[in-house]
Amino acid sequence: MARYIRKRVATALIVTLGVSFLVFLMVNLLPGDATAVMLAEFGASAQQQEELRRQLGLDRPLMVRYWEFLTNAIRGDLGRSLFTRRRVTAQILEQYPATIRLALAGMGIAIVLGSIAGVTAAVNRGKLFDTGTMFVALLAVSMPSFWLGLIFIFFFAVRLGWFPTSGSATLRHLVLPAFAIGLRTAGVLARLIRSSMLEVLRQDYITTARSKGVSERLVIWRHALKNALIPVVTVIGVQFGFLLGGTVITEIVFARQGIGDLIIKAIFSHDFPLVQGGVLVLAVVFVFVNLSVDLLYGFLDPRVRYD
Amino acid sequence: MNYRSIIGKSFWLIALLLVLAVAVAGCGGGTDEPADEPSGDPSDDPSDEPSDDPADDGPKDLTIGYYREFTILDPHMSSAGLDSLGLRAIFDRLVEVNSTEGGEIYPALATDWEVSEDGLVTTFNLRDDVTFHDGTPFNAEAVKFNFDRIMDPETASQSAVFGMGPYVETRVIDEFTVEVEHEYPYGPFIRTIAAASYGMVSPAAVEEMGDEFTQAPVGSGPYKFVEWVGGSHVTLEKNTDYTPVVSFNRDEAFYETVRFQFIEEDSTRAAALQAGETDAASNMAANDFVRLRDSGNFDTHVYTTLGGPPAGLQLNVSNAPTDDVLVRRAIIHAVDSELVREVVYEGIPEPSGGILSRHDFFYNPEAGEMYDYDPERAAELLDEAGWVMESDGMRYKDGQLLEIKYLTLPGVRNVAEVIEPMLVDLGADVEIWALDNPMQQNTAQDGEHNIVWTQWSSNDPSAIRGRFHSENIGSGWNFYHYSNPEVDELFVEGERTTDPDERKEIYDRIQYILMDDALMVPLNNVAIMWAFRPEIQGWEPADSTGWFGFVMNLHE
Repeated sequence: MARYIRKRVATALIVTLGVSFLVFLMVNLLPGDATAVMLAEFGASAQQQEELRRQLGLDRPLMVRYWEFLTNAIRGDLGRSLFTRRRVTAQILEQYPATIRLALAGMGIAIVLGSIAGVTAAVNRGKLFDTGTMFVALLAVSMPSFWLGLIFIFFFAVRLGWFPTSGSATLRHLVLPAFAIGLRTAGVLARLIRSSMLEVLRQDYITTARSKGVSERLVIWRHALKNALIPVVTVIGVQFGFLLGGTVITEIVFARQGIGDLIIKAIFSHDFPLVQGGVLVLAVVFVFVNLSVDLLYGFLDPRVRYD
Repeated sequence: MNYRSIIGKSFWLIALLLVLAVAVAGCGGGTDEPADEPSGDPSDDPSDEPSDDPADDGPKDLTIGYYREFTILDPHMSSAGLDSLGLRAIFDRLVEVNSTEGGEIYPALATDWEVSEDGLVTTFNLRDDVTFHDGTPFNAEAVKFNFDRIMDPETASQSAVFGMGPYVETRVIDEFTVEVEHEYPYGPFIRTIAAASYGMVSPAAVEEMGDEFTQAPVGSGPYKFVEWVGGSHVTLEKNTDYTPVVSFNRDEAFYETVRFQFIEEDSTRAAALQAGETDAASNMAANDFVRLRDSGNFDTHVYTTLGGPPAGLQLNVSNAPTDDVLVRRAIIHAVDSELVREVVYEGIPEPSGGILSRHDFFYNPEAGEMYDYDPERAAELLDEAGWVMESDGMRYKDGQLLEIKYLTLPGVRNVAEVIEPMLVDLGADVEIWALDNPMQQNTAQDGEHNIVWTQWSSNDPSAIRGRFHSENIGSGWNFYHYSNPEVDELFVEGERTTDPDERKEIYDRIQYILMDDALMVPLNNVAIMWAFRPEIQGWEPADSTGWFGFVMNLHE
């Protein structure tokens, strides 16, 4: 197991390095740079733009800048944003807690709703409840989160006044956005869990358990669900990884703090240090989540061996 | 089993309720009254509590739903107009200028000033009763520190440095007198330094905090900086030691605190105001603005900016077919800017004056009203230019189709879509390219386009040199690819002339030439739409430089 983890961490490092280099290349090879954004409002002469480019160090060769970024990053210094002139690490640390809170809450809602709906639908296969649940799940998957968020705001915040429209200061600020992203993932999970459950319920050991007189509730929620979740865990892991990358649309609609919004804006304004630093952090998180999921397999499925 | 049928029934009941709920939410949006109940429990931030209790005589707080997060609250580094509102509250400038009423300049931190006979030296007498928020005095040394800081390459100034002109140095004459020397007479100087970018920072605070100054800015303005929570809000508090420095400001700030809550999504910003979470919503989308205005429950106001060119289409003179002045004139006549204002902006913005805003002291109406909407005239001009309408409804010249490449930012693609059919009616084939900013600049510099949508503003007309002077073709912002030695010369003359009336003549002439050469399709003046809780007063444009100064004047 330890060897496996070491191997995986080593791979993760290589992947992260590769990602950071690719991102660096992509951002820098796009035509134009941050000075165009900075000067877009009031303008300047060509010569003044060139001067600013020099002052910000954007005129130096690509590889020199990448090497500098990399050596500084290893020491934990991701540089400063070209626009806010703040430390990239400070900006990421400031925004990330809100993203993690939203991802956890959204995933929690998705797992609870998705499991209940998926299992109940599988048990009631072919009945009205099954068809109805799967229809609602399909609706949830197809609904744009942008639209759903706005509907939530108008109904639950403006009309009923139950929750604040926007912001990220308290738990009450978390409810609407968590549902806005959670419902969609719940729809995905419900459909997956249903088909996975149907598969498992056909297995011999379920018949055995039933014939031994184990209560139906125990058969379904313990024996069957645990096995049905194995393929689902991968999907949960990937979905969670994406959620941890920031749900840009939801963050913007509810005016929440968050890493997704931060990085997207940085990309649009060609704020190189912030893009590079932000993507590096996201890559590390994503790789770490995937590793955790793989390790979780061992817990769910004793047949999996790490060697 | 029995319980399953129960689940089945309750499922459909819940589903029905959900559908009803969504339907109610969707249709019931008509009344737009501010919600009665304050949302947010007592443990919430104060911002969640509307401060509109009439019996409450205690300290009042103002929360503004602001359309973007501030970029940086250091005046010398900021390049963004969106920062101006915060910068003007925290920092004072040497002068204020009223660009609309004859271009009058008001004293602020400087009580008076004088330009030497040869136009090279500007002498400022400074107020002797001003202290920065950190308690250190404002004086001549501070002015020198500020101007030198703007010029310092380390600062990498993104706006302020460009208005300093041929700056040589600032000399401290005595504690409250400074001289600023330029290499040659620089006319725009006084008007330019009234902009938010020329706010006076506390030298002691900059020296103490270094790179972190941008996180805790210290000025001498009516509000002091309290905190900046990234992605959420900036809070300012009243500067109780403030002595008003501008004649048209209120005596002192009314609100104990001002909070800028950053809500980027237009609909959410409107919803937060309706829900009573904020007291004002900035930069509203036209449809939200009209909805809230027509509800009668909010006060609304439209602000505009000065300088230019205001929103319009720049025509590229280096690429066929717009290299022909007749074609350019035809395009201007063919565009119904009123329809654009109606369809895209609910008719709220005023028409543009072409090169400069109609409110600008330097605006030349003769240039601004040179063209009217006249599709027939447009067709005649194209005939005259040799572009013949064929049976397929398109125009050709020497077998070449009349093709127009229209470059736009994605955010104003809707403008392009309204204009496209007008050009198609003329017999042109229109291709729309929507590119975001850095790529737009690159593409426009290459000059492969015919039309590019842009919008600018400035305190002083000298700033438009960046758009029209031939030195900025290919690597700057001269997207017209326009090169006219007479205009180049006039820009230089405009900068070196200090007399306002002589300057006005020069910029009148420039505007006339540019419009006569048909460089610009005027569309609309910038319209910045705000809505306020009805109790709030004082939102009329407070100073001149358009609207940026008004936050400190708000009261109830």
